[in-house]
Amino acid sequence: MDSFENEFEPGFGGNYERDPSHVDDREFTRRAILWEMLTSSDPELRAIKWRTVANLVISLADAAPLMAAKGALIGGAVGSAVPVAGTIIGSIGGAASAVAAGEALSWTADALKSKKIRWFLKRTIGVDPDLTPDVSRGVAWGSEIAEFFAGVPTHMLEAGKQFKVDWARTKGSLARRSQAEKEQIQTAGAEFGVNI
Amino acid sequence: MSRQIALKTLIKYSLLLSESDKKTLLDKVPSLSDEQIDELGRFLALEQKTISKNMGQIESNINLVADLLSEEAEKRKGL
Repeated sequence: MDSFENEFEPGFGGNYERDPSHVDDREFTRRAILWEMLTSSDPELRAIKWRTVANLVISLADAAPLMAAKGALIGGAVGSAVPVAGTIIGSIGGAASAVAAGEALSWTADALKSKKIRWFLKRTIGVDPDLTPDVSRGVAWGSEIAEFFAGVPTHMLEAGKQFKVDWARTKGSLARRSQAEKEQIQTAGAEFGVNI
Repeated sequence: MSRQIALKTLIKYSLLLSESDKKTLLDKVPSLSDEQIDELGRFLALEQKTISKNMGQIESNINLVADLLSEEAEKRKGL
């Protein structure tokens, strides 16, 4: 089990394979699930929390340049006092550097899905750096190629898919914890002759 | 599970006790007599039984109060 080929299943996070489909019948409010995600001390849920935050930041950085470019162009059109050529050049320059920053983050997140990089970082710093362990490398890397040609920010889609799985996983964890608490109370009650 | 641990569990999950009361009681558990542990344990176990038995009713009452409060808040906004 010392080789990265054996440690990570293709397209899935080695450490995040707890079955997310195990969810109790009881329904939990969205607030309760979010609270569990943000405050739990369970290492798996802490990893979920940090990767959700990271994915949100990267998604915004990846998508913001488009909005910024749009805003700059609209602003340029409205602001007739500013020389038109200067506004356009400035807008393009600003948008291009913002695109580059967002893209760099998105590409870094995708590069961290590499088996070799994950294996190396897990060994050296003890953290699996994959921010979207439930999204296959094919989808993550393929979407970057599509983004290159189409210009549509795609990290948001990967992050969304990951969040959906993580949400179900958090709900499952909440259900398990709730069940464990119920059993603890029942056992404690039985000590005093009360059948809860 | 020893009776002391069982009592601590019931104190921890009690809905009647405030957080500061829970802390005070948890500190006192080791010095309680067997009779006191039994009495308090039975009381808190019965509390849990009542909660568990009437959970549906408790939830619907809480929802009713929440609805009334939000209606009240809407009315105040309208004024």
